[in-house]
Amino acid sequence: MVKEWFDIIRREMLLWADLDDPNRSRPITTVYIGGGTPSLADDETIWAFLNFVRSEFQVEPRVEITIEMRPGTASGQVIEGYARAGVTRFSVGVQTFNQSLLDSAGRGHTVQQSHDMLRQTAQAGIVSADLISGWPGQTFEQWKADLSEMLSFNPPHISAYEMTFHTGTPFGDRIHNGSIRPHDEECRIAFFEETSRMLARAGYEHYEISNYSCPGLRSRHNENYWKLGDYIGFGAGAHSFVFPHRYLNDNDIERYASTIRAGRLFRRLSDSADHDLFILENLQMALRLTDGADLDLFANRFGMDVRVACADKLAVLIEQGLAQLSDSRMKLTMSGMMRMDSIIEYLL
Amino acid sequence: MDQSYIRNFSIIAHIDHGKSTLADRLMERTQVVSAREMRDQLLDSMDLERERGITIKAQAVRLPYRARDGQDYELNLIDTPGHVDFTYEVSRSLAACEGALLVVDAVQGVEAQTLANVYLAIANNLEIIPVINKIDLPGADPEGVKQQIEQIIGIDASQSILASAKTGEGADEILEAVVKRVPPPGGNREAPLRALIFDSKYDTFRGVVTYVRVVDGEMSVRDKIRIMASQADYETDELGYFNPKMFQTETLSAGEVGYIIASIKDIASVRVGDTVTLARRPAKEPLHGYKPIKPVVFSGLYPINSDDYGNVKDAIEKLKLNDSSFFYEPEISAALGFGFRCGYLGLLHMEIVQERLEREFNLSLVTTAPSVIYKITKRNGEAVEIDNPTKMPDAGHVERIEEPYIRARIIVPPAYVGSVMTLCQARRGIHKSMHYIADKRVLLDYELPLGEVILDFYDKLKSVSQGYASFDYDMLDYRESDMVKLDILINGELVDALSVLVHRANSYHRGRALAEKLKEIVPRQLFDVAIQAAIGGKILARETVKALRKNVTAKCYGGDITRKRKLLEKQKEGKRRMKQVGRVEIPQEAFMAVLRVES
Repeated sequence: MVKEWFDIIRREMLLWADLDDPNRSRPITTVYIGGGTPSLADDETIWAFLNFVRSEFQVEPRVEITIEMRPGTASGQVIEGYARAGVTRFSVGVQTFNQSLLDSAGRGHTVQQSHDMLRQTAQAGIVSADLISGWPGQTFEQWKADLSEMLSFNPPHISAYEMTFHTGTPFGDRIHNGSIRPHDEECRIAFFEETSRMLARAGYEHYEISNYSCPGLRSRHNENYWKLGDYIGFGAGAHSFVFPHRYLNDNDIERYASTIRAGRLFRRLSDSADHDLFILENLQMALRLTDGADLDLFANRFGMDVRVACADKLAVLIEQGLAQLSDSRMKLTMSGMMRMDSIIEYLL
Repeated sequence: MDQSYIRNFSIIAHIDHGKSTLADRLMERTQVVSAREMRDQLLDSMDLERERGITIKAQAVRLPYRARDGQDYELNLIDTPGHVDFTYEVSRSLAACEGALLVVDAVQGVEAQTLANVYLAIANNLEIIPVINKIDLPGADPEGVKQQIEQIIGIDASQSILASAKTGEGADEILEAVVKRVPPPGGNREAPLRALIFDSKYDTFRGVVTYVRVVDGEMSVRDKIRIMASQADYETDELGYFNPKMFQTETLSAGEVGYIIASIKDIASVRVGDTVTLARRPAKEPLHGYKPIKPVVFSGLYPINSDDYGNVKDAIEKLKLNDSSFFYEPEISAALGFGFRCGYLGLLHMEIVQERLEREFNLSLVTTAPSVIYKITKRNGEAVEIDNPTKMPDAGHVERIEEPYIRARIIVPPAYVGSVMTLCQARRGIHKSMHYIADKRVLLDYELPLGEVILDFYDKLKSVSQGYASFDYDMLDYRESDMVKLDILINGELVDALSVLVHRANSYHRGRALAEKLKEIVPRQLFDVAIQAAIGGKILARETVKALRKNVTAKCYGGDITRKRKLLEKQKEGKRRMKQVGRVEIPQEAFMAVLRVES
């Protein structure tokens, strides 16, 4: 199954490369294997896939290759095999170290499996570990305990997300029918601020809203999204951005697969019809980084100088302590970051 | 046709008592339309009318009918707008008839609206034929309803026709009764032409279509006609009647009902109630009862996006073509920019106009709270009339303010009398009388300031009576009142479009309630929003809409951005429904918030 899947991805990559030769000669700087549970693949499959990538495309010598790991899905041996195949980073979905919270959400792994995977991946490469705050019923103390426990493993990179509740998910539906309540705003602010404080004290740099890294070990792959670089996504429902266009693959797995097998790409343009919106969605991406956005570069690329087009509003944001402007760089302050969606709505 | 075989009649009924359905049945019986062609309620042609179950524009349809006596008759059914806002139009439609069917719901009985219209019919000397409708419903009480008709209206109900417009029962009896009981039109065919205008509409291709009832004389195609009050002459291009589509004829003569097309471009020159005569042989006197209509309710209309001003102007002009009772003039608000002050016959008329503008012309509008006309006498003796609270002179210069009062009739089941009286009291009503009608209903008579009635009175009345109360009013007079201007400040800035005039006794309570309501309506945004209610610079109430302090998407990588876009699009659309005042986004409904404040 998994092997067959990688075959289709390979075919799609070749189809894409055939489309446009210049892309083939652009060196690949990062590879990210994620979505679904790629850690179910054995190391040989990953080895074969990465070999294929290296033989068919230009790959930078210091390429960053990340794979998403779900605790409990791969043995230490397989993890070593991944590393031998070329994987440099392991993104481990810990979520929480609290077993009863994991159980409450019906997440299929245990705390013990997270411990094991954090130790095994640390032997094999750079670990980036995910935590989620804001579980229904989670206390502030429990969240601090999660952070402390994570720090005891010393991962070079930590992502700390606030839980979101979509309808159709078990928590989302229970919130909708009122049987559980999400944390209030004060509480969510406390979680966020405490995360930043504790991780900073431990030497991590808070470089994006939800991402923290030891010096020099940011996720280059993800940073590329926020710096508005090009990327190509393969697989059903994958997104791509090759400036100035965005593309989206068909979401239906069967339809996607049969089209690729028949030798055709199944992607459509997903550009915003509204140019202002296109610019703002890019600004929104760029402002996620604590380094902020270079407005000169932004103006060159998108043809809109935020300092001119949104002059009054920008002044208000600065006056209110939500944003800063130094030279050509616009940055959000901590309180600005926390209400970034409202800021973008304000700028609309 | 010989006048003695013509019958002109209309139907008087409360909303939902089955007027339109009955009209459909009569058209079916006389085979004007086949059952197959019959769309439900053919007479109500505008979508809005159909949705609201009311008639806005009157129409007239000719029904050819062979009676049981073997004779062919021409029955003209003139539909009337069934709402208090259009009382004058109703009175002119009724003036075009000799008889009326009084349709009363066999379950619900007589309602206030029925009452008002039946009084108009009596004043016009119409023969009234009571029809008790919906007798097929469980709970129908025809005998009780007959009693109500006799007690409240004071007419003989023993000859009432029992009917069900739904099943068609009674339709034949109704047609026979129209022939036998409604008198044929009088009028002199040889006299100079006098035709009563009872409605008009604008047709993009043909100009104004004028609906008339010929009272005296005769007119033919190519005749030069004169509209008497406006003293304008036109040549008729076409005459005809509705069957129910337009059907051309060569002449229209005394007793008949039909339409005139005469290349009239301006609907304002064809006013309801005016008289049409011939230019070459004009009548000496116009028909009685004409009066120009004056709007009584005013509100501001502004485009949400100021770039839409031109579109709004075009739309309002087009709408005005079809509605001579609608009034507008340009207006400027410090908060809302360029817009229009519009005048309406009443609240329903206002809602209809606004809804048509949004729906038919696809405009996003901000509507300010409705106002009445206040008469102000200044200390220097100068008298001014204002239809907008922002035009209120400085309190120091005001000697006296007068506001319009109405006489309201409310019919309600006894169980709700207490709560209705409490409501009227809160709205500064003066109780005049109370009568029990056939034990089942109570008729309350109140004098109320119109300014209180246009603020959501009708909805409140419906809610305190669980929908059972019906209500109708007449304009009464102007009376001196101690009114003050209540202002709203948003982040310290006065928002002129939110100002309202209120009675001093209620001002403190209203101010607090309005600030609280606005707090509910204004969404949380990037910054704190301070809402203050003030009178003459004195702050009565303060509310704060707290800023959103944590509102950020946790995960945003390559694919998430496309998903985010949908949210951005929704936000952008949402902002289109908001008016930016300073740095605050104010939703449309905020400007009508005063209507939703509990009294």
